Amino acid sequence: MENKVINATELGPEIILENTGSIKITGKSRMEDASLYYKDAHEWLTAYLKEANSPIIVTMDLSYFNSSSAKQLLKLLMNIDEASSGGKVIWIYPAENDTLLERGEELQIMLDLPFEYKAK
Amino acid sequence: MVNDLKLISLLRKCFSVDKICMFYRGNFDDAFTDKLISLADYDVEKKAKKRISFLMSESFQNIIRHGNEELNSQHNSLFGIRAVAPFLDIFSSNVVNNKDRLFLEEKLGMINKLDKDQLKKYYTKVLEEGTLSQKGGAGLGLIEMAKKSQKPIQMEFIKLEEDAYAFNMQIDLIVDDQASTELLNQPMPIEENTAMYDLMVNNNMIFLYKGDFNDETISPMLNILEGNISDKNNSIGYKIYHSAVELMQNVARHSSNTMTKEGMFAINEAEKGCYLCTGNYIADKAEALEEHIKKLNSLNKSELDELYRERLKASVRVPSNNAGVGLIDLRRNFMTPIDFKLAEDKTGNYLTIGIEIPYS
Repeated sequence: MENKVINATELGPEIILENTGSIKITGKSRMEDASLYYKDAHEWLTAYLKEANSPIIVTMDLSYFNSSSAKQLLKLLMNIDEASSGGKVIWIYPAENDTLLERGEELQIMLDLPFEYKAK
Repeated sequence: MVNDLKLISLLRKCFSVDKICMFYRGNFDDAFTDKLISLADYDVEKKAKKRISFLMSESFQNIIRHGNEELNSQHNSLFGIRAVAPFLDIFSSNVVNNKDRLFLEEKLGMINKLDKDQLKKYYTKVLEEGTLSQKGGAGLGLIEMAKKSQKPIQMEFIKLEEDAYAFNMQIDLIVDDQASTELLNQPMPIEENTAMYDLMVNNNMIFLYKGDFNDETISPMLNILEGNISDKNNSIGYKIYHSAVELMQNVARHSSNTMTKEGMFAINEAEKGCYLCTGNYIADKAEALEEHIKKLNSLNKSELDELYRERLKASVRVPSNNAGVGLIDLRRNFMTPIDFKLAEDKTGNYLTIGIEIPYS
């Protein structure tokens, strides 16, 4: 399983997927149709989950995400949630932005994965 | 607020022939200029792009150079572009004093009489003499504008008060030189845009856009907005930005035309914040949307949060690209109701949606 890097664009975040079980999503995500942007990440994860059995650590350091992106982020996390390997989410948010903290907590309610919050 | 929606409906008719149209009223600086230029860059033939960027930035510099800070704080500057075939019209309005008025009137009057060769010669002459005016311009920008526009520069001065004039200027750039001579000889009169300025001022409108709403075209607008939100790192800034994104993308998602996602977007100043609204023809069944918005307006915050989670989770299971939660976010962001109006005409169902954004 090879590592994969999706470079950030004006609309989308940087996504780094590593075969050690680390996924890092950094930046903003505001495309109207986010499904295309996250397609490769979903495919990588599905293939990875078939092979590996170690827990996956997802680090989300997003400055903004729209509703279309919320769906893709949830899809990614639900996929991990349902896998036997388990994992956790590290949710990084700007200390002065309560809304982004709430958006993390909201995703957590929808999942069984544990969340760790880090203000920056 | 309903008036703001009515205005959008009215402006849709005013701009029915415009392919793209954008007006901005407020303060101008160089950073803003760059972002706005990237907006006009879209959807124009390569050949015309360079000229457009140049003319826009010259018009801006003209606004900055001749703008009187004290006067302009009372009378906002306005900048507008309109693509009405075969022209791209660049309109600007700012306040100048009498001395500048006389300078501009004389310079532009003279330049407008010169043909292409004469302009070229005059340009070289002014460049060689290098007589820079006090404000740092030598009239070179004006000559360059005239050279590139191929049409006389339209101007108008309106007295506002003692030693203060609104200086309105319009450059009509030919973007389709294959058009009929009749059309090429009839650029839009400047008075039409002056009237537009009055309409915006009277209705507290600070931004207006009509055109395509795909990711590329809305990006420069969102960048401008991002730059204008002073507290963009905190919750309020985040939510203002999010409301604008969801409103604009809502136009693209529900557009009746799958090829061009056309619509309008406006920002009005409101008593305690601002008012964002959009207008577009929709493909979906109007009744269902109406029901949905009515329902959202009747729910409280925790009910909206619950509905959001339910909908988002369900959306993951279906192949559609849409998350279906954009309007829920719009409603719960500030807990202000979503205003909407549906009107049917011969083209179809036209939907206007607006929301008040309180700043505190």
